[in-house]
Amino acid sequence: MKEITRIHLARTPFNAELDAKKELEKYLSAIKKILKADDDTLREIEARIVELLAERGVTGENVITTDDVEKIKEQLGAPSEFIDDQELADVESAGEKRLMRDSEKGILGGVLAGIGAYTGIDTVWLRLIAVVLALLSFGTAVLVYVVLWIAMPQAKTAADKLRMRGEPVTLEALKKQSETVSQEISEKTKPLVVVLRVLLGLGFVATAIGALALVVTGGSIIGIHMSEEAFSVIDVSLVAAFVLVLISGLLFAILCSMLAYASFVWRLNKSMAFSVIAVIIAGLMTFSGAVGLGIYGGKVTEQKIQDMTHTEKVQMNNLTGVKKLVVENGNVPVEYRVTSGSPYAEIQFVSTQDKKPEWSLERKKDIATLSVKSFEDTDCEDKAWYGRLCVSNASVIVYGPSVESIEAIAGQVGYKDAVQSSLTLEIESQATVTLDGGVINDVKVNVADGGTFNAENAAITKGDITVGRDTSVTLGVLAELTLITPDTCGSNSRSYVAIDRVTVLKKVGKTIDQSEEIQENCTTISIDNPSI
Amino acid sequence: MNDSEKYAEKLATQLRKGFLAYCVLKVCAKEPKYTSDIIHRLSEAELVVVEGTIYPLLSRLQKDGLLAHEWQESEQGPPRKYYRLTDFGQEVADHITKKIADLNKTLKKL
Repeated sequence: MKEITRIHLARTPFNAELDAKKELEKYLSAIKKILKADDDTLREIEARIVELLAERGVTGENVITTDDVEKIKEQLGAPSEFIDDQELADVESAGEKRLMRDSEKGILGGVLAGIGAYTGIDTVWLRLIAVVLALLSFGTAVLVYVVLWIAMPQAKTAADKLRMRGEPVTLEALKKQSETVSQEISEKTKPLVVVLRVLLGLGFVATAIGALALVVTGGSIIGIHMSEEAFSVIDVSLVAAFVLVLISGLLFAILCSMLAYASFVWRLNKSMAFSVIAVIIAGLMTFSGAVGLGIYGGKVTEQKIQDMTHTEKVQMNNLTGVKKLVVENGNVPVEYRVTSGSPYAEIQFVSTQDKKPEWSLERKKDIATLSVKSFEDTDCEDKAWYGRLCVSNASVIVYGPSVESIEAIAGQVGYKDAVQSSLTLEIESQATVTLDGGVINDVKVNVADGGTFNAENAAITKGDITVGRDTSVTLGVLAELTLITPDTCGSNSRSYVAIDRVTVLKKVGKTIDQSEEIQENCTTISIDNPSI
Repeated sequence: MNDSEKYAEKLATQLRKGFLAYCVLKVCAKEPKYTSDIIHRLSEAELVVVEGTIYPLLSRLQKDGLLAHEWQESEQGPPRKYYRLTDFGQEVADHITKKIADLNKTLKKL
């Protein structure tokens, strides 16, 4: 009994005896070696074999026997008959050694085996040197290998293999070469190459999926955001830039999938290389277009906002000689900058209409009261984008003399660049006071429940701070700090005092031990650099 | 095969080389032919050919621009590669015809 197997010849399936199949494969691979990697001709020969088999009555379910194969070989002639004498004359005259990849003997691409064949050095030594070089160069030598892999042609035909070793290409040598039955291992089925193929392929697939996910999620988030915002501030060019970025992202994903495919099948033919280059060029063009449009659109948008930004300067002569400043404001931050010149205020606001924040300054003896009403552009309500813009961009900066005390009733108040011996602060529950810059020896602060005090960037020597419930106090470096903290509070209530560094920390007249975190009844005191 | 026959065969092989190319050109001159057609025509004309030699010959004639090919669907089996003579191939064939006539003349005179 003989084992039967299936084979394909010119895409036609046949049943064949196992021995017949082996014999036929050996014959065809010998012919393939001789023909110069001419797949077309090989296909024609296979088609011819199909015809010869049909002539012998082998079609459909009939089985190809070793006898059939013998007859076919007789008819077509020995593999050496496929040697083109004319061509041989050409190569014989050329007959010089060529550097080629020996993929048959190589482990990966046959680069080193090829160099070994060319130089006559044992491949084992070359491999050792290559590994050492790769380690010494932290892997950069691998790049050289890849370049050589691409640059060195593969020795495919029998003549190639003779030339690679520098042996003369004669009819006799060719015949001998074609008869040596070497195992015809395809480059892409070598274990190491398979690992490389799969790793590269998976890497590209992962990159493609990542790029696609980024395009979809990023695209939908920004897209929804853009469609919700009014288009009058966002320039059309920004929208176009956004679309182009999405397209270039998609192109990148396509490029990665193409490279993944190429890695998996381990083949890069002309049309594939051409489409890869086309996709790269298209991607670079759309991306650079997006960048250009983005920069342009950004400038246009900036200009639009600038056109809506108004600055007003108002003289404030009645601030001269003031001792106490009372500030009451809504959503417009007020900054008080200490200056020696004549007092004035700068009011800045962004509005589509020519509306400005309402404010007033009243003077009673030594006390000046500055009140700024909440500023809301009616246009803002219709356009969320504007809304955020005009509220956050309205601000009042007052330039005036230094004051002895400030009472902040509501809103954000900044006190900047003061150089004075003492300052008293009253911070009410809705207010935030920031001391920025300046040098103040003695600061007395009363932070009411819910108030916020920040003096991180001010140089204070001595501080006396009364902390209310649910407050936040941030301090920089002090020589001495006396704290009064609440004894009782609600269960969810907590005040926080953060200090960079303090030499002496006192509570109700007593010095207390410092640590990074001190837990009180209602207050957490944290010290970045505790003094011990 | 005795020695004299062997020697004669060797000489004949050399003679046949160029001759075979000429025959192939002639076969393809009238209409496009595919490989099996060519082989059949040659054996009909009683030219003894090892089929294997035809393939490299066809690919070389093609490379040198004497033949051109086109793929055609076939009723049974895979598509076939049909070879036809190019204008250049026709010119070459005409030249060889003259040369063979000259050779014949020489033979007759001898």
